[in-house]
Amino acid sequence: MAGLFGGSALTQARRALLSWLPFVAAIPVLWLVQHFWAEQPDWEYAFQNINHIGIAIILAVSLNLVNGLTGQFSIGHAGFMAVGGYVSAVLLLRGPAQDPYRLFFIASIAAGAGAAALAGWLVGKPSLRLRGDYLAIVTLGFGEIIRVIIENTPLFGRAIGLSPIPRYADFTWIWTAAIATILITKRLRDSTHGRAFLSVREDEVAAEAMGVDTTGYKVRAFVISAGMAGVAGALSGSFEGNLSPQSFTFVRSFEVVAMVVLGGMGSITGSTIAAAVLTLLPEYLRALANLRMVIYSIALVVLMLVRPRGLLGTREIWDLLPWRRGKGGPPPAKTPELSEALIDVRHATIRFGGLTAVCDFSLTVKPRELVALIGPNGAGKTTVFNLLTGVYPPTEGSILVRGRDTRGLAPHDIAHLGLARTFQNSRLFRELTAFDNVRLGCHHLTRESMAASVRKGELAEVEEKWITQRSEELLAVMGLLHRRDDLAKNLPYGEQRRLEIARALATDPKALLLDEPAAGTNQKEKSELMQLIRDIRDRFGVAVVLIEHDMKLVMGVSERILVLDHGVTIAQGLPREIQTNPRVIEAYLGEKYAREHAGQIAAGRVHQ
Amino acid sequence: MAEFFQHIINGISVGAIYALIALGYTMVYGVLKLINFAHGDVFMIGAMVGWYVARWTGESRDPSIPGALLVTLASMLACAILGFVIERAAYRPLRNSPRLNSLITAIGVSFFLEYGGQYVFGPNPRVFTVLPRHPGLHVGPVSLGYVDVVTVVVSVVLMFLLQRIVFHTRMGTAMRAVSYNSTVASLMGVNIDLVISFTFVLGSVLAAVAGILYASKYPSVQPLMGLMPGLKAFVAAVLGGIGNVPGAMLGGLVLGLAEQIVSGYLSSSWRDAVAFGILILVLLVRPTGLLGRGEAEKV
Amino acid sequence: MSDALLRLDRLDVHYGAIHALRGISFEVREGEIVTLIGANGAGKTTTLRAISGLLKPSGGSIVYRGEPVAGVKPYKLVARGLSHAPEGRGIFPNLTVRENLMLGAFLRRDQDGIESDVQRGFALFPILRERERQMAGTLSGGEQQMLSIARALMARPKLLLLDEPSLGLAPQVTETIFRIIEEINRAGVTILLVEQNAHLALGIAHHGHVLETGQVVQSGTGQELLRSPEVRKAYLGE
Repeated sequence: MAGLFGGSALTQARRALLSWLPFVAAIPVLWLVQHFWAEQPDWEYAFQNINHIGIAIILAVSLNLVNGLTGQFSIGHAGFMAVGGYVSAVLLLRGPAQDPYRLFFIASIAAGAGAAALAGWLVGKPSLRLRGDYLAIVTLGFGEIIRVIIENTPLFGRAIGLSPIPRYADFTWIWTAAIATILITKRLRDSTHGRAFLSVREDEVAAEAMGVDTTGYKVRAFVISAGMAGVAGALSGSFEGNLSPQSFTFVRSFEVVAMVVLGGMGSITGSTIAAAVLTLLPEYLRALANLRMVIYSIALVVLMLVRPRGLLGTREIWDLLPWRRGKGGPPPAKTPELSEALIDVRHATIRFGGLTAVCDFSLTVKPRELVALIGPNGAGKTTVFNLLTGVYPPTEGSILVRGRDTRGLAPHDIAHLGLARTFQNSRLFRELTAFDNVRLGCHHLTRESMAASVRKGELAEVEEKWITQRSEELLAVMGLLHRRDDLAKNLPYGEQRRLEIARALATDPKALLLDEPAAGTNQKEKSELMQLIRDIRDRFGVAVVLIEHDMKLVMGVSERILVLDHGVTIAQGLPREIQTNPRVIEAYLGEKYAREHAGQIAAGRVHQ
Repeated sequence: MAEFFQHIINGISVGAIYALIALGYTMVYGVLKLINFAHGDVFMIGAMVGWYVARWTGESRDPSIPGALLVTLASMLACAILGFVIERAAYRPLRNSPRLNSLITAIGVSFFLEYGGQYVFGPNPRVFTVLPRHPGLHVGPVSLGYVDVVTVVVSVVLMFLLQRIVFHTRMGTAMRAVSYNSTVASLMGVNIDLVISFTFVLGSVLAAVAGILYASKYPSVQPLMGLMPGLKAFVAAVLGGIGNVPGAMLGGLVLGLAEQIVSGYLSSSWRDAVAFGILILVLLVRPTGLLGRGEAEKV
Repeated sequence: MSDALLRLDRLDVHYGAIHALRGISFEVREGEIVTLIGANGAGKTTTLRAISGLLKPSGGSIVYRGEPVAGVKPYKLVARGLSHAPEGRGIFPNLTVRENLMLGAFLRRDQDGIESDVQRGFALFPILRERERQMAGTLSGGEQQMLSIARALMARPKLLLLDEPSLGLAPQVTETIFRIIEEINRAGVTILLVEQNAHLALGIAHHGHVLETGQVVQSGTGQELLRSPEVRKAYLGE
């Protein structure tokens, strides 16, 4: 890849420098501010608050990565902050007395961040399979355990804490870190990885089906966020000159959660503003003495009642301004076709408890084939899709996708093999735009590393451009380009279903599994859909497996039909054969259907 | 051996209090899927109201059993009203919002009660006497503190009553129906708002009694006293399987016993870590708690 | 017009920005079976949910037994004889069959009457008597559907809303359920039926209405609609 995209070392260096320009440029400004104002005695109190805000911003923005973007629910952020703070403080207390270039200080912050990230990994790895409130309570418990460990460890000064920590952290340091945190989080959020985080929040099952390794992304979000909290802890200790376990109780974690929710889940500017507001609020209420925290808590409740989606919702502050959009480009390259069987299911059986949902199911799908799966509700059709895409492993039998046994593979791995699906009750990422939904489909085709996204490397840029083109083309094919920037949830029903197909196609599949695509569409849309399915096959060279109740669509589009009833394949064959099969008529089509179609079928025979 | 039994008895007594608070968490979670973080502070308000009423009636100078009953009833009434008001004012407007929002509101309400308590009551602990002094019982070398005996008896009676309410009354049936599926429950003619209010009132009343018992055990009251027991009780509720009434009782007991044994044999400063350690272990092995039921997501 | 048990007039429902029902009007007369047919997402379930008070309409009116009931809470409507067996059955899986039935009679206090209605439910659906002490979650799909209908009847409704009773059922079971729906109707219960299976539904309905994208596009007696070329084309798979 480097050969394809990489320029000379010089251009790369220039690019790296440019990408950090806003950041690098900020440091002298911060230093000047520090020099001219922060060290003035009159400004001491103001800058103390400003620095507290800086630390709060690091905490809130980093927690936003987990709670807001990835939709996980952590309330133990103070624990990670404590890990970072204490590790760095212990090093500083034992470090050289003189640190003129602050090299040891930087090393201690890095160590604190690393320790916190490691703690994040240790907590995240086992517990992220828990959901919602359970994850919350585990992170809360973990934060408390950290505090208790600190209170019982002589190295950490037990309940009294550590002091005096060399006070190296000042306005410049804290705000440099705060700006870096915002920049990194923003760049991550705007990259394909950021969309992967969002997809985990919106719908894990669909995200897996798009090829997103959801567990991997959850752990990554957790580790990055914990590391940033570690930086905040290190800076906080070195700014205050002391650390004590009482500063890291769950109340502290709650405050950070409040900043994230109040700012608006996922909004980086929202978190930043909320961090400032919630840090300053108690300070401005100081005049009220004992009442100030009472008022602070009432303000928190009232803000939540008045603005339940936070100050900015999921938007950023610049979203409130009119904005520009990119232009489309040439279509993506076609992939070579395959001749072997794409999907090869051999005698698959799955039982849930005592119930056999699908029994001895076999199916081969060849490239570019159009196959339909029909049968009464509850016959096990969707279960077959879940087997194919790895949502459930078969109890018996084997499933091969492009020659590879899928046993033990996660849904996202199978998506990489080239299976894409839609869902019966469409599972779009409802709070994301149509464009982002499709872009997420492209996610697993990207190679850029997270570091590259943050650096804005060339590969990242080339890929982003390619993803944009590809996504816009797909939207155009599905007739959805005019909906590009609408939230998926605001699309009419029929368009939502088409968007789901576009998203599935974006993964560049070899086979497309459509689960009742015509459900809820009217007759006109149904005939359009019939044409669309054929077009998709021709244009993208994919095989299509279709679950559908609408017989007109099924008979019109499919080359081969399988009929399931109570998990058993009762018939398979050409549409014409299925329509006259007595078992199918009895179990599914009904006598009336058979009677009313007898004429047509007979007529069809004459033609043959 | 005697020491061991002593720890067991202390553990049961503390565990019973945790269980009483945990019931409030678990019932509210059952009907609303909300972690009511303010519940620990309702417990604190229960103790605080008890302190004021005891001072006002002269009970704190001259404790008697009827006096103690009066104090407890007053505190139950106050907490019932408080629970009702919290739900109406802070949670009901957000019932259809994302759950994280109600959680932040709950935290806000919790802060409000704590800081409000500090404002009204002052930040320092005050001595709490409601129960008459009594040497307690001695069984061989094991001593049963009077407060411990009262705690266990009262808790058992209350849990028995609660069990009757939840499983043998119309309101209890309605509560269970709402916790299984509130939409369908409303189609059966259940007044959801009423059930939710009732659940808050019931949980708050139990928290009030727990507050009085806890304050009598240590004997002091202070505005932040709800913080740790509240958190522990929540842990107990999750441990037992949140939303599950017998689970909350079991979780409280397990937690109380584990804590007492650890502080007895190891060090009391590790006590808090143990509670959460057990919780994390249990959740990793049984993600829905000891008695909780799992729900598979339909794809 | 005055003998309508239920009348919807230009009913509008929004889900956020989505306009789910666009001015739906129809009426259900006492003693009738009325059916709503249409594709998924056409607004059939939304209509039922608005009638039973689970959704607040954004415009138009619902008049039940002569009184406007739009936005009235479901439990008050149950008390006035409106029962709704929701889509997906909504049985309580962790309660027994009998407990589920008793919940259906939640608002009633006449113990003897309740017991005789339980027996009446068992008479309608004999399989439920065999399953009386079983957890409802262990029942088969068809049995759960029967339980859902039996439970809705426990409130002694005047008007019964049925949402997709044939969903996921084998054809023979569907046939049984539809026979019983007719039986319930003959016993004096008015029924508003939402169904995918247009054939069956129109076959037993006195009146039917076709919904498309939140609007009534066609109305008539069951037989008229069965004969209508548009309906045959769009919903009977021809």
